[in-house]
Amino acid sequence: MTQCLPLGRLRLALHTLRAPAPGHTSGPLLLLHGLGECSPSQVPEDYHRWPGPVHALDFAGHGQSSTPVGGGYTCEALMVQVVTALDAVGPCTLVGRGLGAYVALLATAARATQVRGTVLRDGPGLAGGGDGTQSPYLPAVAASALDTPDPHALADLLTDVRHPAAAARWAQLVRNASPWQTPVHFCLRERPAWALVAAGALAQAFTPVSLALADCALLHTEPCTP
Amino acid sequence: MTATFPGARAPERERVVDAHGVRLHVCEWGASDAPPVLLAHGIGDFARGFDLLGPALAEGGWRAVAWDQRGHGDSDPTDLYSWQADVRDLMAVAASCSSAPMPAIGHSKGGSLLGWAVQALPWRFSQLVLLDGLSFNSPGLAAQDLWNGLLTEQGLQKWIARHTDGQARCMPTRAALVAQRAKANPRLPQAWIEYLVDQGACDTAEGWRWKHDPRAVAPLIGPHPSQWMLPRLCGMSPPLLAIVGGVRESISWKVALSEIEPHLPPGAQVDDWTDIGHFVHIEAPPATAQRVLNFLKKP
Repeated sequence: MTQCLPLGRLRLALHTLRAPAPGHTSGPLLLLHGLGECSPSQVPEDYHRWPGPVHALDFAGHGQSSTPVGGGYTCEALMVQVVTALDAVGPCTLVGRGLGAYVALLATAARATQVRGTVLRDGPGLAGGGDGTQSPYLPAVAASALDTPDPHALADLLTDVRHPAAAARWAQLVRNASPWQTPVHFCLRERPAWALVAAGALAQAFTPVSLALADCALLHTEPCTP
Repeated sequence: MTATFPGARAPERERVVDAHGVRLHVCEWGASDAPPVLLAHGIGDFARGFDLLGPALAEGGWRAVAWDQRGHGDSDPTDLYSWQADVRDLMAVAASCSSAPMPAIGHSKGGSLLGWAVQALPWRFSQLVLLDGLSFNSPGLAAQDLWNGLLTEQGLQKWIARHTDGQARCMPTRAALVAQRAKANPRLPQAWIEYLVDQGACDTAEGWRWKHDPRAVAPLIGPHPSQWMLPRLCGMSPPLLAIVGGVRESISWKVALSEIEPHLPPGAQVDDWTDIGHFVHIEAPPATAQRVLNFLKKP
């Protein structure tokens, strides 16, 4: 099943890959794809053991979500799209791949009490455009309104700056607002500067995804006391 | 009755440029066959803010070309706003004027956008004039302190709300909107603000509001290339004139001339107008126009 979430003129596709079982009490998972990807059509194997429902969001310009006219993609704008999905899904665990991992960190800062653990995973667009010290560069875009993924998204989110000091600040906002001891799990083998800095700011080690998901599943059974 | 302001003149021509599907409203002063000079406005402003400088440049033999940035004035609002998108729009407007290198003038964020564009695409610009707009932050400010100031819990929630509800702030009357702008820009003449409201605001069912998309003028929380362009300024190739407004205001650019000077390219001309605020071209129109025309030389 796919819901269409309005955000201004945009329409975001929120897919339910596994519906809640009758009488279920387990919390949901919300999957965020990487740059140039889209949501999977079924629950990926890594999440088969997740006890609750599984949802997945297509970012604007990807999958079945609408494509904004004239580009303008930033990770902060994608964070607002995730917040819109969180408002629809309710308290849930976030799992982000690549670009979706960085956006998940931002969304966790924005909705720290609503997110029951965040899992950051390897995937396309994890490093983005580095730390901002690179030479100014304007990627040429020959876009067709019918292209998915949107070439503007590919051009701008591959060069989108992930400043380490900004990552540290986002992590600090998570730490200040999250009621959980381990709000973010860094399950990354690729470790760009922003991830190292954020993990350091949250005093987190890099962990296997199975342990991270087990820990997040437990958070759905605990009372949330911000 | 529409307000007037001494020296202000509506553009001779208005047209639309398509920038990847975004319709940008373009204003021109001067002969259509005169060499173009590009004018980039600041955040929350719009092309008609150059109704003083545009005509003066036209009298100096130039075709002054300004445009409403996306989400501002009479240009399309868009779903997303970013630095890169603004630069692409800027390049689309430049391409609509000429394929040859051209001089460009930017105020505030417009200056910073141009500064970045000149670094990325130096062959497109022959000269650069910055009107109180260059590096956004003090080069002496530690990166972490910058981000701690930009990105606060309260600011983040406000920014999200601005982007999810998209509601424009309306004032009950035209006079109230004028008063609101006067409070934000206390150094601007009242008559100019009245003039600006008549050009850039509209009377809606909810009240008087600027034509801007509220999301286009949301406070900064993300990466902003002007934060790290200063160290590269020394290598900028087109001749540079920077006029710095020395009087600090709430909307001022936050960098003093003394902080910029060590980073300037060889031969850069810098004026520190200590008794002028952020809107140098509005507070001192003849002086600004004369200084710019002297720098650009005869077309």
